[in-house]
Amino acid sequence: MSPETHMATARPAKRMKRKTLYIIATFVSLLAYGLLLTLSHGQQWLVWPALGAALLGVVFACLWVTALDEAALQAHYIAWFWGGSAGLLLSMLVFVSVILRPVAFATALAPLGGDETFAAGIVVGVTPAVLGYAIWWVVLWLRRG
Amino acid sequence: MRNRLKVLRAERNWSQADLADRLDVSRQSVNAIETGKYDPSLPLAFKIAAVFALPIEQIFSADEAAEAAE
Repeated sequence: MSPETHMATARPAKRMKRKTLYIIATFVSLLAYGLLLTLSHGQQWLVWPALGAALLGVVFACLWVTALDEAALQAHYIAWFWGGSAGLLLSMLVFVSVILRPVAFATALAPLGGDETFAAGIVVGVTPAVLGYAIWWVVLWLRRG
Repeated sequence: MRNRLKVLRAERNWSQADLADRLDVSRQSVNAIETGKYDPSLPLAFKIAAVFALPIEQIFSADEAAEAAE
């Protein structure tokens, strides 16, 4: 057996194990964030641990991305480009229709307060892009079997 | 680009998961390379060559169409 073959056959899938750990850590951190934020309505001081958990979630998500192999990374790039762009196009259509028919939307959004209207704007701007990315990635990854 | 990954894997009685472990990539990535849906980078191609202990040109070859164009 050549040294190259021996090296290759003896190597465990370290990257894949790291990737799994980072995914789990990301979800646990974000779950902790949600839980602490919900509990913070009763106790204000819990806001800070909640923000800490959110930050930890972002760090683990970054580590997860760096642990992806090149084919997986390419699948995410493609999904972001096509799925994310399609989602943004949908958001643009909503925003253009808001500009074209401001009275109709003002009536529909009247029950919401200022903060909630602002939050709705963010949701409309971000959610379709994230959904488009997620759907595109799932389809792409399933096609790769 | 065409490749002989599936044949070489079968000769060694390796599953896609076995090869993925040896290459430190996901099984889906191995499948994507095998089916021609993804062309590996040069470092990964060298890694594949090292795993099979073969020169790269014995594993990967240009498409017939590309060869004809040349």
